[in-house]
Amino acid sequence: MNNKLGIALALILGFLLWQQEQMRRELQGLRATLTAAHLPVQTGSPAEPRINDRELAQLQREMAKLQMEMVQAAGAPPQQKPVASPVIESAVDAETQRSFSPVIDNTLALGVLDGRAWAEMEADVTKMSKEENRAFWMQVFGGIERGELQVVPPDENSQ
Amino acid sequence: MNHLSNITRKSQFQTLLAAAIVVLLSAFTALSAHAATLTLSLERTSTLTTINDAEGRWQLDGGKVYMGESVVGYYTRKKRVSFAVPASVNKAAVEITVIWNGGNYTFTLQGTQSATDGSQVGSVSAASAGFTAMHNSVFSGTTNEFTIYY
Repeated sequence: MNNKLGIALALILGFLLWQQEQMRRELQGLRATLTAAHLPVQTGSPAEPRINDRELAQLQREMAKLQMEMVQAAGAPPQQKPVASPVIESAVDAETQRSFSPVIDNTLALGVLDGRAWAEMEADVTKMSKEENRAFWMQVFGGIERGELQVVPPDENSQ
Repeated sequence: MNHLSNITRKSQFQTLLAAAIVVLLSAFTALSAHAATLTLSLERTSTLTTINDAEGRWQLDGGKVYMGESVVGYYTRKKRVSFAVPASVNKAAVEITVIWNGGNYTFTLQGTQSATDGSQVGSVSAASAGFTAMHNSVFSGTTNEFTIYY
């Protein structure tokens, strides 16, 4: 998904840069024509081409910056060696703070995840879309990691 | 002169359009690129059992699943070593089912384990309705700890 978006972005940027270059060439050609005709050339006040160059440079800087952000946002590659503790990407913390059904919200607000709590939430959790389910677990895992949710293990008598 | 002015305006418009597209695409990419991770640790509490047969061997164990200090569930694991796999490859098939503390939340990981360094790789092959987020997620780790990228 990310690779496809990256390729699409690169293609669009490439196309736009190519267009920009075409425009500059067109301007240069027009200036040459005007000069040959001994007409007053607007580049006598070189503000416009300088503005274009500056805009182009700024655009390139913005592109480089955004590409860096994209790489950082992509996170760790799938086969990267895992870290020793539970990790929920901090960048997605804002995404995890969302509301679910009243039963789930109330259960999570209580902060105790025992067998009953899991069972009570199950009916609503199983109805969730994949994305909503992902957000739910991110919130739960984040809560456990931060100590906001206490997981109570069941009675440990062996089967 | 008007022509020159038009070209300049057109160029500026295109620059603005390019910037807008870049910002929109970056925002979209950033939203969809977040790979959440879940790292779980395994603590064996049953007896590691090896069963040899003519084709290879089974190795079975089970225990607790930790997320940090919290016991979030239990696991049962089976490994299959086949004599058909040469020693130079030295890998076994592994299957770990994580049974959550409560409710009917479960998921199963399938993959391989290297007998050389203990590394495990694979994906979530099955998940209950409560764990749809884990569908098609890959994992990697060691014998006692793995990370799921969901």
